[in-house]
Amino acid sequence: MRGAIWLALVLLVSCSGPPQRSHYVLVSQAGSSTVAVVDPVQGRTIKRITVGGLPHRMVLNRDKNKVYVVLVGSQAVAEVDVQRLLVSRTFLTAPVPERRSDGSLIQPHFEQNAFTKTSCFTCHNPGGARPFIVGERPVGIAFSSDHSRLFVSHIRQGRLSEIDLGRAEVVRAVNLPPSGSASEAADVARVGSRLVVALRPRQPSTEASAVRWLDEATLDPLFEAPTGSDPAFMLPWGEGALVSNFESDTLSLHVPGSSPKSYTVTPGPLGLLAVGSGKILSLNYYSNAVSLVDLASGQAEHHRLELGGRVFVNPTHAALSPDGRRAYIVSSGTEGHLVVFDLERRQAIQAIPIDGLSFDVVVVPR
Amino acid sequence: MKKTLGMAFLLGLLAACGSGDSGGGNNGSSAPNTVVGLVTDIGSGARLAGVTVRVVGSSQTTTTDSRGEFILQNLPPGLVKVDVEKAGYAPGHGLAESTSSAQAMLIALKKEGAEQSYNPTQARTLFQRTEAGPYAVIFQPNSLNSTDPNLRVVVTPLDPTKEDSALPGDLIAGGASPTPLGAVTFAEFSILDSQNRRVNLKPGSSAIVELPIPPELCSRYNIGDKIHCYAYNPQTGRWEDFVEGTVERSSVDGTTPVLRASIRHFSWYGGAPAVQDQECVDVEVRNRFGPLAGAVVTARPGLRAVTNRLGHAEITIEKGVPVNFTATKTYTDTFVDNNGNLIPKPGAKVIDIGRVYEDDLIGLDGKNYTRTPGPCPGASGQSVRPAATNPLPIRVAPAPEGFFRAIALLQPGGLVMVQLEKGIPNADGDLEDAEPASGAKITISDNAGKEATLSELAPGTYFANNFNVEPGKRYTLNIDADGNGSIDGSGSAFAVGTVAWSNLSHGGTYSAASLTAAWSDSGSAQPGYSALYQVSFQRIGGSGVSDMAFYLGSERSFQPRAQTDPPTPLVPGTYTVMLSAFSGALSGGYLDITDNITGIGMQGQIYSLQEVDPITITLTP
Repeated sequence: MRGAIWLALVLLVSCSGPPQRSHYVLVSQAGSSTVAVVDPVQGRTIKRITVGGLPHRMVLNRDKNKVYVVLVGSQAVAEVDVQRLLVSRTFLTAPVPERRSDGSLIQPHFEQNAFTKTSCFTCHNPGGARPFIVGERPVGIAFSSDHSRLFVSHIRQGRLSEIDLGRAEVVRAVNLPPSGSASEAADVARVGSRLVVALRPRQPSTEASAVRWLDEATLDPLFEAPTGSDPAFMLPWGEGALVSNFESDTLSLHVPGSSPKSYTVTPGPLGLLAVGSGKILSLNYYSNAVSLVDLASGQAEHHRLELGGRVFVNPTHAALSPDGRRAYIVSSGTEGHLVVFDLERRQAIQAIPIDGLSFDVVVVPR
Repeated sequence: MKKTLGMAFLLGLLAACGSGDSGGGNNGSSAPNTVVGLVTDIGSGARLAGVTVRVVGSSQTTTTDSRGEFILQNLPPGLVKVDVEKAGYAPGHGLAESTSSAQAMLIALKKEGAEQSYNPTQARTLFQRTEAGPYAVIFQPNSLNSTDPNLRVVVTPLDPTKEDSALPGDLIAGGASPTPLGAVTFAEFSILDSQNRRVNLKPGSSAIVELPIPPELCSRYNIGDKIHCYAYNPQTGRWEDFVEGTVERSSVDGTTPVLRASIRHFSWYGGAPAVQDQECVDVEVRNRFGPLAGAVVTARPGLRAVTNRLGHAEITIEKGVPVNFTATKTYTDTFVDNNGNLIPKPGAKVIDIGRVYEDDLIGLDGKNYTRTPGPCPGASGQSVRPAATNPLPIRVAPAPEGFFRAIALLQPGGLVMVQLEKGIPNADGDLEDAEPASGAKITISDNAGKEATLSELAPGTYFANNFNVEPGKRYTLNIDADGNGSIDGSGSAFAVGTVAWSNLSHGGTYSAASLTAAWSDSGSAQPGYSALYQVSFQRIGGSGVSDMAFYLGSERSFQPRAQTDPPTPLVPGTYTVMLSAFSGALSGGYLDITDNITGIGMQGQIYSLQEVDPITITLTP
């Protein structure tokens, strides 16, 4: 009898599986200024961490103990301690301004000593100073080669800032010259010792954007190539960067010295996730679908994001489970869900409620 | 046998006691998995008969009866989505839960915009103009999933500050932690081919839309601001495809601030940022017999809640802005007579409706209603509040059978007067055979707790004694047109501020070439205030185009120029200069009159005007 119970326990443990028990899934919830900590085993949000205004992109550091969350509405980056599941620090990505765009003095910034704050969210929060959304609108984020610094791109003025994580401050910033009407630095990625920035025109637009390569050390421009009107995300891929052209149904692979190579997915590609074996998963926002693309052959298979007859709309980003067998996908409609997608069976197998209008996702160790 | 009769008598007594305990008449029988609906015209408030109602995802259809009502039975449990259709109106959509008791569905339809022809091989900008500005759609060639060269495009504008109940679905970012969305500007886009089939964008194609920022919200948004935009998906009953739009100048007229965004699917579309400043309000729903359990309360901007056994609910709303509360409760198979008795009546469609429009939750009785900062705690949505709390009362009653029209005037520094008529609306929404409506209960309140009940001075004419309208303040009018205890229509408007010339004075002399006439308005600092000014310069003794200048707009200065081509300075001479200010139902470049009192079974206008004493000035070259 005792042996049978032992066997049952062993089977139970092996079924639930160590990979599933060993991690949390963090989701940036733009509508509620929070990051949700989702336990995929329990299938629910176990904690909500208030991080700041409009949290969007997130990156996990090399040691897997810190997550950096871009606060689009608070002109800052929040550092989340993975073990404690708390915000440990925030960093401004651009200086707090003294004046408005019309030249008038922002008196409350002097009265509140705003120049010493590390996030605009300290004052511009629900119930606090208005407007709620302020600043240069940081969006893209990438680690430096040695992971000691962060590069952050901004929508307003095409600013690219470099934050030293040791000193907890911006150590270098440039306003990137526009390329035609493309002036918004929509994303930044690092490929080796080069940075690649997506510059797009003010949206909505039908004019071309630019993929610009910079030297990481000097921030000098190296080369540039046109792309679609609304590049949303760039995934480093070998010597190049794979760009999702959100306004279309294409991805384009930009490799310096070569013509861009195009891949067809379904409408509205946004997030891109490397899933191994030379394949990527494209999250196709407007078509409520994902595409599994083999970048070598160019073959793509498309899967509608549905489970039990229900369609999960507007996928934005995805993260890979530690065992590489599942992708956690943010369904970012006004009804938010974290959809668990089985990469082998090519189908959604679970949907966990999260806030509506969520955006990015990372997997962290427990 | 005796024993059985005695038991039956006892049960009857117990039943009577039970009904008395709950206030009497509040527990009408209600069929499960049933939805009772009412369809009205958002412009006139009239009930709409002959409207086709289709349940999404099923073959079940029905039609509204002569009272604009419909009933859907034997529905599957869960969210019920319906599409409604009537010629001459933009597509409408309704949502309700199919549960263990019948639920109500209120749908307001908006008259559609003018039909415009379009050949999809062409690049083209089509627009529909209202007093807010041009609502435009900008097509790229060959972007539609039709090659029919004779397409018809209909753009139906919707100003959420006046017509929010015509917006389909719940404006909520839902999921684990719901957040209200604050409606800014919306429109419905329909494209039909020669066979009357709906046409949409090709997969992967997009169009650009421009939606004017309503005058009342212009002070909140600056050029370059980003606003979240969504499209309504009738299949899911949700607002989806969130993208950021940008506030820019209209590409049609070059001046109107519009929300410019990319659209992927033609349907209802618009901008509604997530509400950051939220508060939790305690409401109490009552009918004339007492507190009402199971009533559904919807707040805009805000969330939805259901009352507990004490008639209370906690509901999350946006803080510091006007909020519309609507409560509904429906009964089937019974109706309540005038004495409060439940009368069996199979197939009855009874909807109790109550509305409250609150500017800042300092309500009609001058009290601050119970509210706490932040969203309502999810778990306590059904908790029973302590008796010491002061809930916002919402009185419900059946919607009026008649049709009412109100005209209300706020005289700055003076009185408030309302004329109320009852009649039958014609196809244009105007009343025919109108008669003064007596017996109404009308209240006026400001956003600081001051309120008054209007007295009926003469049949259909109501007047507030001892209530001084302060210039530049916002006032809310709530009208119980049939006097049955529930609000049938409401609206709000700013009393025009104190308006005075800044740089002109009676008897002054000015250079016609360099003169810029400027004036001040004490109301201009109020958030949401938007007045319209009319200025005229008329040379005494002159009647030519060079003897007069005219301005109508919302700026507080202008350069008087003769109506010549090109405009030139006015000829020297002595001029009479007149200045008037308007607010409320009067707006736009042509002093359009738009209804800003809305409700079921009623419509009307509340407005304010002020005329500055004319002055005489002399213009030199």
